Amino acid sequence: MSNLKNIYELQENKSEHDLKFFFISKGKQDIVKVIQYSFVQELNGKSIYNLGFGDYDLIDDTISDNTNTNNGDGYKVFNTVLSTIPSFFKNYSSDILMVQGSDGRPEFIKHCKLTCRKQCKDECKNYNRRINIYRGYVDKNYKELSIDYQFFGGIRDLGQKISIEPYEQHKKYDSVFLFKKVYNFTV
Amino acid sequence: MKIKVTKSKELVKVPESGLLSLVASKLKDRTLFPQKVEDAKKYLQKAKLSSL
Repeated sequence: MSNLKNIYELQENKSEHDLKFFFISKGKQDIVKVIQYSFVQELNGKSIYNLGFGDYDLIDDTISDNTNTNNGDGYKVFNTVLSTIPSFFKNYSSDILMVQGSDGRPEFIKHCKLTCRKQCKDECKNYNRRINIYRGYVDKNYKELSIDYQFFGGIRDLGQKISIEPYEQHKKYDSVFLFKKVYNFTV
Repeated sequence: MKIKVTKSKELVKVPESGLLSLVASKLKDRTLFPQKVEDAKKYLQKAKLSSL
């Protein structure tokens, strides 16, 4: 993730409570994008942070994480978001990062059906689309990424209980957790 | 006959870094994705975290 090419220039902003990044997507139009790593909860002395990402409307002063802007630069935007992950771990080296898509909320399918033109029959094709893009990247680069990071995947069962397990490539997860591996060298 | 003249708003060019600094200052100390943080909290409440 640290050697990603074709990314936008980022502005980093760290405060006591969070870490934010800003950049401008320059596709069909200029769109201000914001990334925020927010504290969620403590777990065994480590903090869990959530990755949030969306569009900022400067005029309305509003943020949206559920619009598909189709600005024609999706890969560059995605790579730019990924490129902030090593910076996150530079700031929070012993903490856990949690990634979930805004289209993975239980009520998403109901809302999607109201406006979607895909006419999906059995399974909503937009459900968990965002986390699937992240998973796709992890699956494709798993060997290389595993040198520096430990991955876990979260699955919601039919009873809505969630199991978190060591990550298996190409398995469907609705959340991904990762933390930086620590190597202790003795000379 | 009177002609109504409307003046359009003047556009100002701002350098990219200046714009992002302005955004950063406007969004300082704000939780930008409160719904996502709440979703994450609810998700973790239902999760077995022993393997993490």
